[in-house]
Amino acid sequence: MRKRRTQHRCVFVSLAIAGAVFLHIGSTRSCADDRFFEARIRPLFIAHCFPCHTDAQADGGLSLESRQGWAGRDVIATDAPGDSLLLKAVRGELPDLQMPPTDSEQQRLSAAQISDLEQWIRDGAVDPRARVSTSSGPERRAREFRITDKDLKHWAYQPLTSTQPDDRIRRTSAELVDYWVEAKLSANGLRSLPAATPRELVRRAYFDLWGLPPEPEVMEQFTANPSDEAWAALIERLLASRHYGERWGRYWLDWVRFAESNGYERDGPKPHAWRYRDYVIESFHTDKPYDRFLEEQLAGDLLLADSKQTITESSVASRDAIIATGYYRLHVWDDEPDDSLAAEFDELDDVIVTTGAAVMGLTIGCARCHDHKFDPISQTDYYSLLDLFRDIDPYGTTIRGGGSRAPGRIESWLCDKGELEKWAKEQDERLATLELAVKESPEEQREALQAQILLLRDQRPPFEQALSIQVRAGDRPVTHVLARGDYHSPLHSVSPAYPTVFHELGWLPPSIDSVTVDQAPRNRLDFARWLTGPAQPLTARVLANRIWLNHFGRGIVETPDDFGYTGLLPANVELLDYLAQELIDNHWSIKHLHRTIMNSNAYRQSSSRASSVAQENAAKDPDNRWFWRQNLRRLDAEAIRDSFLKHAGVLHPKSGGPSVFTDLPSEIRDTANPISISFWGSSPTEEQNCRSVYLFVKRSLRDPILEAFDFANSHSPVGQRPITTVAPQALALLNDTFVRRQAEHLASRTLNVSHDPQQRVTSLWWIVWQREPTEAELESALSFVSAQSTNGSDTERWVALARVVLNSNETLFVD
Amino acid sequence: MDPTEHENRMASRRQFVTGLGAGFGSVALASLLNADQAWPATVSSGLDKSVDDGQRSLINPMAARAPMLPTKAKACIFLFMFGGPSQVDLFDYKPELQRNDGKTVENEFRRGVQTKSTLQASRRTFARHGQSGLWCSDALPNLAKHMDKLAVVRSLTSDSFAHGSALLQVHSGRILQGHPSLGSWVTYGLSTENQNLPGYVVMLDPRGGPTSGSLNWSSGYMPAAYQGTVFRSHDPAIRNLVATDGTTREQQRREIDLINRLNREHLAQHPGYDQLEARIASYELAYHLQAAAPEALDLSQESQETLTMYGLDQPKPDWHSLALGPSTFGKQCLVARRMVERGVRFIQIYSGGGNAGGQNTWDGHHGIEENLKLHCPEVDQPIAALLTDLEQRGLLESTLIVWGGEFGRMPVSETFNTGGKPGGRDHNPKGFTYWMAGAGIKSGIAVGETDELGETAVVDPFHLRDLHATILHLMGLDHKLLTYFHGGLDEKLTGVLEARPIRQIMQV
Repeated sequence: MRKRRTQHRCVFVSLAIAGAVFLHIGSTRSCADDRFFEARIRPLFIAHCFPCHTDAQADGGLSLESRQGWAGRDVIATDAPGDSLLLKAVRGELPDLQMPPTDSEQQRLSAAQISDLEQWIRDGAVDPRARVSTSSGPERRAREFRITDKDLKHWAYQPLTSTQPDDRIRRTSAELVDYWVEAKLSANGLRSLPAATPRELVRRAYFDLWGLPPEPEVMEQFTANPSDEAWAALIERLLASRHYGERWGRYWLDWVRFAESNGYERDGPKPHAWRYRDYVIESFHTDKPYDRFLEEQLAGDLLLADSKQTITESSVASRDAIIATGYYRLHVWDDEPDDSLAAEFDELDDVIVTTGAAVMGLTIGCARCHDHKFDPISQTDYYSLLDLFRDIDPYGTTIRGGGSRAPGRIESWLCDKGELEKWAKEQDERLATLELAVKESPEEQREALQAQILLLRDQRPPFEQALSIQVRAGDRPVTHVLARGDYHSPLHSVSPAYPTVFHELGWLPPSIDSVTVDQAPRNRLDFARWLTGPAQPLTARVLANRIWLNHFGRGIVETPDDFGYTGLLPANVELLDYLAQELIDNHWSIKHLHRTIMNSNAYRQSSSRASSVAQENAAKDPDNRWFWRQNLRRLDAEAIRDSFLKHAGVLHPKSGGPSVFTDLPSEIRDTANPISISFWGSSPTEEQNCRSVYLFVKRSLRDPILEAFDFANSHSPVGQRPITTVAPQALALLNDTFVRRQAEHLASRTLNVSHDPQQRVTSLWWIVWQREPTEAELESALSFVSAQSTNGSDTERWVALARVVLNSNETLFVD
Repeated sequence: MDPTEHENRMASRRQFVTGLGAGFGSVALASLLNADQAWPATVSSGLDKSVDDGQRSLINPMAARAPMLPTKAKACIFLFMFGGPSQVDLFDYKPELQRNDGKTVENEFRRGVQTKSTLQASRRTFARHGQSGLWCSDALPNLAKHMDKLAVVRSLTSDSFAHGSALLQVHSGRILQGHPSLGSWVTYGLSTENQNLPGYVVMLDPRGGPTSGSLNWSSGYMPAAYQGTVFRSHDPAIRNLVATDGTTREQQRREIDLINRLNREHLAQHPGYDQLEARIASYELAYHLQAAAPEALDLSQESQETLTMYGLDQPKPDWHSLALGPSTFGKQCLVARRMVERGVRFIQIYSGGGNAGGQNTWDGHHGIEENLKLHCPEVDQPIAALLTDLEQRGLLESTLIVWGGEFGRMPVSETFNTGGKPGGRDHNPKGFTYWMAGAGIKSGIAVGETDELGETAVVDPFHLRDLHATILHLMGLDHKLLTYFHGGLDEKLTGVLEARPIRQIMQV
């Protein structure tokens, strides 16, 4: 007999993917009860009762598909289990109500099954199943779209709360973080945990800001003097490095589903997409104000025109403004669509969905085919927003019917127009001279001259190019609301507009006369400026939440891409609003927010759940929604790969430029489409050891190590990657040639240190874990390397030990 | 906002999110509840385990789950004819086409583009077979003997004339990328019965992967745990299953033992984090997988009679450089049966591989006769053997077999790709054939009809989403309830348009 009612309650497992959430919330009922139901009762219902008792076919008014289906039907009596009609029926005690019916194909229940049912009812008939369309979810909107009071009161649409601490004590920005965290903790009877150890803090700071392990020397210095000043100085040093841009730029690339290939059959490369990646890294590195960052990406071309600037090779700002518009070209693109006009709307949808999710936390895409079913976004809002982007030349050429097509004008020269024209003119002159020479030269010289002409014609201007937008040459097409999202069914026409709900919320930007407001964005630049304008709290909230999330492994809002009704509410809205306001007040400086968060005690808390305080807290806030501790976090794919390279001492210093292709094992190449794989280039071996952010991001094929550890899907915005734990990851870390190679390098580093095995182990421990081995660890390690019989040569055994260390949880998790 | 109201709303919001998966929510809950059955706790932490890791995590996405609907099906084998097999030469007999060979007709050869084309009668001979009298041509003589086991759907339609998007639609329901594949939905819904093998296995044609490669077995926005695992029919079956440098199993065991020891010490210092325990368990699973995968491939356990039945003893034909004969696909079918016996949930085998457009796939632009002569013998005997073998072992009633490609082919001759020579057939998403057999299938029937020339589905047309709803239903999953919350939507394999399981071919 099973052990009943074990002490522990349900383990909370929650999973958020790409802004989606699929959460299972435990209740007070016991895990064992649920498990018993799932293991014994549910299969029994399905096999023996579902033929007649489902929601669809509820014979006798009874459905056993959900609790609601049987509760209140006088069939199951938990207060007097023996009287339950269900039990009497299956036991055959009722002559006219035998279940399953004697004339059915269903067999009688076995004695064991009946006993399971008895036990289930005796224990309270716990049924964890809920019916599908329960009324507890967000309300479906009325069929006729209108903005309601409820919409106007939605938490995310409210102005940032400007509440100040009521004690009027002067506080630093980090102390204010603690003030708001503590306020929530004390209101819920929780106590924050003490600070993590200095060693844990250094590792936390390195992995958070760089995605790389600390150098042993830094660890020694900091642990010798772990003062607040030393901590602040460490943060500054980490923030100042380009490694910071490489770490945090990659998060942005997740949010905007960056990839360097088009997807689909051939999955061809997007030209110069790496410049966009470098632009993002550099923007984070230089702490470009976020408002400027958005303006450049959404309207860099207009920004230049607005400031009467031209693009010049020497002006970084002008180049950035063009490179940034590559943002619009990151979507998947089918070079052989069934219908290229339909495909154009798919591509625009991709841009809108991404912008909505990444910047505003809005699920705008849900309003493509009909008004949004939950959020106050109408189909007209959707197409009005879409129209804003229709001045951009589509990615692909429009063709009639199917067949393959070429990309359109998706590149720009990164030089002054005059220079380009000058070059072209000179080129024409050179050609004309040569052509004249051909006519005038004797026969035997003509062939050589013709060859020169051909060479000249093939020459490309000596300027760089970027993946970018180009504005449509002719009139922009009229955009219609499309019935069911089908472009064959146009309804009324629209023009660019801010979604209606934001009109009603009074989020319209002031006009130039600063007396009235602009009712509609004239262009993409107006829209970009509105996103970070004073009246609009959503953008700052969404960004502040994303930054917090990547410092804690959990957002204040757990659905970073969805701040609408289908998202979750903030666990601490005062904290979120304080951080958002801090961003705005500090010129949208993301680095300021890092400093603010990382210098707080909340961030520096221990992640340990061993103390009695932790256990008391856990009883009240089991999933740490209110941040009474730090979270132990598994490193993400890039941090795992990059730190292995660092441990091995072979991390390549590449810090920008065209993307790197790793050598793919043949079994992976074989699974790919031959044309698609022909675009996979080759890179020098040493360069393949660069940081992961510089590896080519191909939609149909990923680096196997990155893929194994939950790399972003690169098809839709990913605000938070899922963390999975599966056996193939263990196989990859044990056997993949990448890991084995790094283990060899790492072993040779330790072998070079000394001949003394103990010193070798110590060196290995310091490189990877920045600490001394314990007595027990030393003993285990030494006995591992000294076991002669089954463990290969001396070197091989040290390589094996290095591999063991790389595989261990201490390497993959940060406290 | 009033804080109390705020918290109340939070609470109701949370209930809602639980409800979101409902119908399925509880199924997924089962995965979590069963977690410690699949992942034996190796260390007693002494802490209340009611807390999660804070970090979003999925402890064991593959813990066993019960189906939603009554079903006998435990496994599905999807036999995928990449390139698009020709229905008018195999199952969809059209006397009118045969009578009008060479006549000129208007043909829509790409969406909205008409052209004058020449009707091309099938060069195959059709006959009725078995008790059911279902039509099958002489291109598949072995399968023809099993027509009484099949339910043939002759009226499928899909939305794309191009391989890339058409393949995506068959596999994921959408012509757009980024959505989970059918196998992912099934393993998400049902998980696997054998923790020591992947739940969703893909076997490729040695001539290459299909168009778009791994996107066809991708888990899209779901966790990677639900994506297909490429399984080769020779050792090592799975990438990274064993070390390539000669490390022995004993050495690996020693490594795992030390990893476990270090991880347990680490866990003792970090009590209460389930992810750490899950990682420890994952090494044990990996170790078991190293034994289980080669065992599933070990055909020395099969009788000579069985090997012969699947065509494994047949040499590679020498009449054509691309011909493989039945032994490759036969071996994969046999391995598939062994996987079914071992509790693998979803197995997809590809016939045809490499670039579409060539005779290396079923994409018969360059001559349909040559194409059939190449590919039909490669799959005919193996599929017949698979049906026989499953039936003999009593597994057919719990195994769903699905056969088809990304579209069918035109009844007209294609000269577009053959330099003006007749004999090819172009893509046709407007009417094509799938058949199914096994679990829950009403056998020996055909449903739906194309027009009299075999081009467009006209009687009981079914869309691919109907096929998907049917497969899910037969596997015990309701296509309307099997949802995954993503980007603000309850996503379904079958999408937002109404899908109907094809009741006519289902036993219940």
